[in-house]
Amino acid sequence: MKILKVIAIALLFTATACAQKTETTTTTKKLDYSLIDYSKRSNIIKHPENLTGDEKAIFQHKFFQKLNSKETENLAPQIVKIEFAKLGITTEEKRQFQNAYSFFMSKYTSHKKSCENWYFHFKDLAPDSQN
Amino acid sequence: MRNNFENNSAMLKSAEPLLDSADSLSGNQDFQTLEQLNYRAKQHKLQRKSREKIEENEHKKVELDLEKEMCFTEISNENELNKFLENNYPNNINAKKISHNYFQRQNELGLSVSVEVIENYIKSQTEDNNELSAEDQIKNYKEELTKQGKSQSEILQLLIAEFEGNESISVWVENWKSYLKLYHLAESKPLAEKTAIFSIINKADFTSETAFSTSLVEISQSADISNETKLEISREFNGANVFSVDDMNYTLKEVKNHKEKIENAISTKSCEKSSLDLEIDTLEDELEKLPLDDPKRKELEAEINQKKEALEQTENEINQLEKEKPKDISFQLREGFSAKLNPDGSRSIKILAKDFAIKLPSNFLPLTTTKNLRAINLSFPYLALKNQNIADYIFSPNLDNNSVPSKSQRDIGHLIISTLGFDDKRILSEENIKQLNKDLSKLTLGVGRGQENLIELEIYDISSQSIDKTRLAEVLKVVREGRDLEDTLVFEKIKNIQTKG
Repeated sequence: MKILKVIAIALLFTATACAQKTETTTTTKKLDYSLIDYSKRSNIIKHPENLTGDEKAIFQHKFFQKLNSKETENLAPQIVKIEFAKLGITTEEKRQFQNAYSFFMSKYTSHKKSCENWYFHFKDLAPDSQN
Repeated sequence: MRNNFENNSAMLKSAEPLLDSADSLSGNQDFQTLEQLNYRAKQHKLQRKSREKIEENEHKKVELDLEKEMCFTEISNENELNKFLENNYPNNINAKKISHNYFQRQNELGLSVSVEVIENYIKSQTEDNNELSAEDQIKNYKEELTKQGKSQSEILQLLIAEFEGNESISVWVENWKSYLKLYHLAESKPLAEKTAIFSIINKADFTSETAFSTSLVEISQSADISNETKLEISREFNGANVFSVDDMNYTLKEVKNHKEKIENAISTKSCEKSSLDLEIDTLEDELEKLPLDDPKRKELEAEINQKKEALEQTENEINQLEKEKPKDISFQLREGFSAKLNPDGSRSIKILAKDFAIKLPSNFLPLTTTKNLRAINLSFPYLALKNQNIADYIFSPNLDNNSVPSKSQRDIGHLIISTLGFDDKRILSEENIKQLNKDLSKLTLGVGRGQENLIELEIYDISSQSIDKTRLAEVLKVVREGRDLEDTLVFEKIKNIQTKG
């Protein structure tokens, strides 16, 4: 009985250790987008401080800032419409809305991709990481 | 369109009775005199011609209206979008993909899309895709180098070499270059200084255009870094980071202070040397007077030796300081160009290869920054054109060595720089100068010599011995637009505007 108990405990430990290991491997592989600061400049939007009007509002909108490039790209038009409305951009002003939408889908999404590129692929090339 | 058609129809109708009468007259031609017959035939011919002309005009108008109809301003369905793409972006799969994606999203919101909006969107997306593809290229190259087992420092150097000059990632490359240089410079410094510099590097934002100048300011204000190291860094990097007249003046002031400091140190050491010389002479005199068996002699001899050692050390220090002392108050502004503060307080840009200096207008009066800036930037196209033996024709009258360029000479410099698309509100960067040299070399692509090329391009008029500024700007515009093209194609394009002109 005692031997069985020891074997059971040993198996349990091994299983837990294996599970932990798998979990760690998965987390290291998964990219953590939450670490990226999208409010900074990128190669696409080189001077965010120079943005004005609707473009500035979109760039600084908290809801959009939390999204990564894929999420931004795939955001349903209806949700964009709702969020735009919060910024005072409505479909009633069609031209204004579409210009804002174009910025959102092109420059803003590409900006996010560029920020991600920097963070995941180039940040380590800063000389400080050589220390 | 309808109105036009009605107008034309009305015109045709009004012409019909005349034609009918002409036809009816032709039936009775046997009863007409020869003169009348000729007259009628002439009239008939004229009327036919008028009818043909009206018909032709009508066709043209119908065609124009059809064209207008094709150029709709609103796209409300997929068919119209496809039609628009066929007309404006034939066989462009990328444009098709981009516009369909945008159109579908707008459609979901019940909105039609204007041609203008869709065109702007395609343009913007294409530009962004190009920039992102440059990033992808770096990413792939970096991964390849990592697989090869290269160190980070090696990877960085290879990336700089490979992507230097790539406009879309110029900020990264410039920062990588500057910080790598600073990193290597810091490595040779004492531990405390090294730590302070590394901590400044750690804080730097590598994606920012101003990152490096911010770090230089932080270094200049750091209490943990010695003045010698600060000056060394300032001399090593400031030239490359001087973009304004104020920056240039500041750096010249720094160099002046550094020179004065060394001169003061030399002066102090020279006084020490004279005093030691005198002391040694006095002691030697004293020693001579002493009898040979005097016990004081040993003491004096030891003292003289000590003084002599101090003298030797002082002389070495003076020699070292003399070596460190800058010959003049100047620093390298750009490769081949140095900024200099002259003894009379004036400043000039020295073109080292030609031993030629361009003096800057005095800055004692207000609002002279633009004048100064244009005089500085003038030196870059001047050297490029001088190397092609055409500077003296472009800048007429010729620029004199070590004198302030005239307003018209500064204006020509400005015309060249701004037409080629460089920002003339700051001192041109090394990259700008490289591109400028490349651009200006297109002016002498012809078979002739310097002046002959300018005449061939109709830039220089031999009779008035002057240049046509408008023509020069036109040619430079073509050069700018054809940067990605082969030299022969650019020259062909220049020739084309020549014939149009």
